[in-house]
Amino acid sequence: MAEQIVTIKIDAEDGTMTVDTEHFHGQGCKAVHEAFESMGKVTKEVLKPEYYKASPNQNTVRTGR
Amino acid sequence: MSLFRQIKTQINDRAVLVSALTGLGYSPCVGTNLTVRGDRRESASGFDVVLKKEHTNLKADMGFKREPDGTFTLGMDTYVIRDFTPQQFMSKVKEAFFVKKAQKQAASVGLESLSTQVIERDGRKVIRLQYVKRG
Repeated sequence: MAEQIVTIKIDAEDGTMTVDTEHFHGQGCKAVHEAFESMGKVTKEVLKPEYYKASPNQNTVRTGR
Repeated sequence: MSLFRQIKTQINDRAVLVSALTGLGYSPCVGTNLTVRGDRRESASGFDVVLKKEHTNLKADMGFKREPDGTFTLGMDTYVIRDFTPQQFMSKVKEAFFVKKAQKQAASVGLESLSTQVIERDGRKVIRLQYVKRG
């Protein structure tokens, strides 16, 4: 599984911030973004294709054991 | 004589502000309705975080006051504090505040710090933080 990396860039003058998440899916991605939203007002949100992919754990098949 | 100036900031978290000031080597006093002393008998009240002149070795106090919108305003007497401008001081404080605030938020969702860098982009200072989610 690819490493889940979060890169944050903050303009030290005006506090404008970008949050870039790599290899996060759905709820996991949302939780990270929600945590950083408290630092300011969200002005733009771009969802990458991987956001819509199910996490590997969600694809686990239960055998009933 | 006194020239008491107040500067509005984007700082909105007292605990993180105190942590940032401490990280910069200051000894902030925290309370409510604290007084900031300017030149001689001039002073202003209503502050929540104060850097006392006895601790900073400056000629007056500096303080942060919480505004109704939750942000903090810096107050200082620029007539006697001439070692730096309020803007220069705030530039340092904001940088430390943003890093501490991001660290706090990252920890709340189980992220571990990978790197912290300050880079220049188009003549502006940009703080670049990287975190990893393990487990």
